[in-house]
Amino acid sequence: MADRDERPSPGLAALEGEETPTFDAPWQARAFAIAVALSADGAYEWDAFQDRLAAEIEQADDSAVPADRTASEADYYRRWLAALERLLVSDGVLESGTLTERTREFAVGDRDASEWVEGEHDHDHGAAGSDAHDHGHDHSR
Amino acid sequence: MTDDSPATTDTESEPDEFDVDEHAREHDPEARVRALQSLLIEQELLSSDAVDDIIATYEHEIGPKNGARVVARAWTDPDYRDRLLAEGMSAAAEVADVDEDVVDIEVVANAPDEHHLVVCTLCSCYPWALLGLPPTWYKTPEYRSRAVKDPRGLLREEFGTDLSDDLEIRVHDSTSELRYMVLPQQPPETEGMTEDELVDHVTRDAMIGIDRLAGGQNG
Repeated sequence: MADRDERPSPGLAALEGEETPTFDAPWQARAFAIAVALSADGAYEWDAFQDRLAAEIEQADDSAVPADRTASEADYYRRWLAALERLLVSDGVLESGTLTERTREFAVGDRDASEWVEGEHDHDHGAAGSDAHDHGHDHSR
Repeated sequence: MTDDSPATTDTESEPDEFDVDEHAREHDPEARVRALQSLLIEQELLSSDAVDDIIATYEHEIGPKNGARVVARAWTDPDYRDRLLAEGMSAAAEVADVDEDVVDIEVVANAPDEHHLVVCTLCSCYPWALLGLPPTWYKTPEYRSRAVKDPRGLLREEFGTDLSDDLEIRVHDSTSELRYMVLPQQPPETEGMTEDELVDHVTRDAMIGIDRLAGGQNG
């Protein structure tokens, strides 16, 4: 592709990463994969997700080329994630209060990914004053 | 008791109103996806390894090589080429490990007087099964709008592909039901090569249509 070097400005193609793009951040990969998995398992039709995604993108479309590749990718997957959240809540699959609470738990570290990694439960969360734990105190009178 | 006003007591009468924008302001996306994954696994809508499996597949297995294999076969086997243009996904499944049941892909063939370009103006959907993850520029507002309004200028100015004026450019806007992939013309210098050798000459950019591979360019 010799003529590539004669490109007049960095422009769009400068947003190119490698020939085979991968995900920029784990959360982007995860958001992508959750949407694909749910559709594959029939939780919703792909169209339903796509409509939401198109709406998110349209709503936020300012037609500016993002500063760089990283910003552009993050921007795209933020919309992807918002579309997914909106769809799941409006379909009644998830309840917004539950989602907010669970998100908070991950944000503050009360939960972490070990909960779905087999054999890696160390049940270490909640150490900082969580009342969710029954420590097995024997309140015998 | 009759009551024709909307219920205002006990539970919310509205469908669950979720302020995503506020949610996004308050929490970082890592926590948000973790929460989704955690709740969906609890509800058995997601198996615990489904997400990791899909990520691994898209990062390591699916990529433009699938599409390149399809193109190389079409260049060497005229019957296959006909099947590919008639029934994209089932023909693709003959040579690449793709799931025929997912979204259909229509393959459009470049010709000496015709060039095809693929875009998704609404949401950046992409022939994932054959090309892997889309490049960053494919998802930008600029590409999505300019591919439709000024494809010739876009190709020349952004991608250095200067198509001659007598070449007609056809732009294909993907929809939720249908994705497109371009079958480029075989570069003359590759005539006589085997399918395996040809695979290396097929670029992702040519299968999207921002590059042409064979003829029809100025200069």
